Amino acid sequence: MRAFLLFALAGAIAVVLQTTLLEQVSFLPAAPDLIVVLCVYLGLHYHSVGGATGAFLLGYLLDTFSGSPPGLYALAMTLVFALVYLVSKRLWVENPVTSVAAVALGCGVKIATVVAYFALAAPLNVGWLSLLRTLFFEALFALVLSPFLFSALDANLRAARQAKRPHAIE
Amino acid sequence: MLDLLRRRSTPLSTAALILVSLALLVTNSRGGQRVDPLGVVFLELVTPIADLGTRISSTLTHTWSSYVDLVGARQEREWLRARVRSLEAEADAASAIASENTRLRALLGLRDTLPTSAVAARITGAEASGLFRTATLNKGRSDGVAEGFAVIAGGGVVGRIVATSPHASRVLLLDDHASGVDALVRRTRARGIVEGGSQAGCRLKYVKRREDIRVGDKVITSGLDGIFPKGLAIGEIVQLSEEEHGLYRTAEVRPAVEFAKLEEVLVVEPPSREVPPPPTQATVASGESGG
Repeated sequence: MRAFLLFALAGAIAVVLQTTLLEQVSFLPAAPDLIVVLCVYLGLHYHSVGGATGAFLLGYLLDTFSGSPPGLYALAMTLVFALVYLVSKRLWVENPVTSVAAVALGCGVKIATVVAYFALAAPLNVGWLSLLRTLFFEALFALVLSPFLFSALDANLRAARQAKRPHAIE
Repeated sequence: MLDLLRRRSTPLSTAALILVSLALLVTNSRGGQRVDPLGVVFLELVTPIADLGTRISSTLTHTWSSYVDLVGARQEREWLRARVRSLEAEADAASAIASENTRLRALLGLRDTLPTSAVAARITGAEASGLFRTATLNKGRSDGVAEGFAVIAGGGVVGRIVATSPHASRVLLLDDHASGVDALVRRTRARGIVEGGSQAGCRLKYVKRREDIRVGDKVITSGLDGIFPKGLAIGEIVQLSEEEHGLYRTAEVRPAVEFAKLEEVLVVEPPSREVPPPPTQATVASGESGG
């Protein structure tokens, strides 16, 4: 439950950051995609129905606040979770490099999903170059920030577990 | 079967969610009615946070814009200040040139009225010790300046040359205690000697008691000392002495020239030093016949 609340809060903050604060930073060509980092984290550490649902809900949350058709980011983030989950079950040494590689994989999945959507289902108003540029920078900033986000999540989850332990003993 | 489902719950649930997402996307991409079952819930839940984020964002943006504006305003203010300083300097220079022009015109006009030759000079320094009232001029012997020459300005008498070098000279100012100029009260033609070193600047002495002199009378050069041309302003009587007895009266005289503000002066050759023109045949003859 604590993990769920933590991810819910992290997701809300990430969405708010992506859609408000970081959008205002005029020198950034795009806001970093923090939601994809959260989904990758779920894919790496939560191999459960909860993890999958969390990724879906985070994507849906992004759909709600980004103005995309409902389902687009929900699909993309669920696919990100699925792929990271599948890969993480077959490799496994976990370190910061593999985590960043997983984020890169997640970003690739998301970009592929969005591009496929615009290629197949919707007219593109902004131009392909602009779209790809935005997606590229979103992914790049997500890659840069992912080690910090992973550390923050690790620390918070560890703290949540430690807080839970005395109750378990009782 | 249940065990299989339990073991494969994650891939199965993920696949199910992918299908749900796909269905949602396809439905919403068709352009019909928007199907968004969770959107309202998310909006309700996240809007307070989003509102807070927006406020923080707008505050930060406003602060940043204010800072940028402030930096711009500061730079503009510095530029304007520099511009004002530059323009003030230009205005001061123009004013100084105009003032100098006026003074030089006055000196030029004065020189035209003088009976003897005169050299324009600039004051380059004042007495450093403060014990004597002297000033240094930038013209010396090589310019024709010699000791005993009169120094005058547009306002009147300045002093006389007491020392010379090839390219500079020193002038003893009228208000020095060692100065002395033969003078007349312009209104009554009462004669006296103006000396320096008094409280007002100068003192008119040796005026016969019966002479009519008053406060406000102008004092001019008499031309009888052989140094200063006749009729130059010396100053104005500002106070008469209280003495009731004696042969002479004394008066305090405020000099016509403000020595502290002097910049350019004329050094005038004394009338008595002028070399008389060589006698012509006619003058020699008339002299002989007259004598």
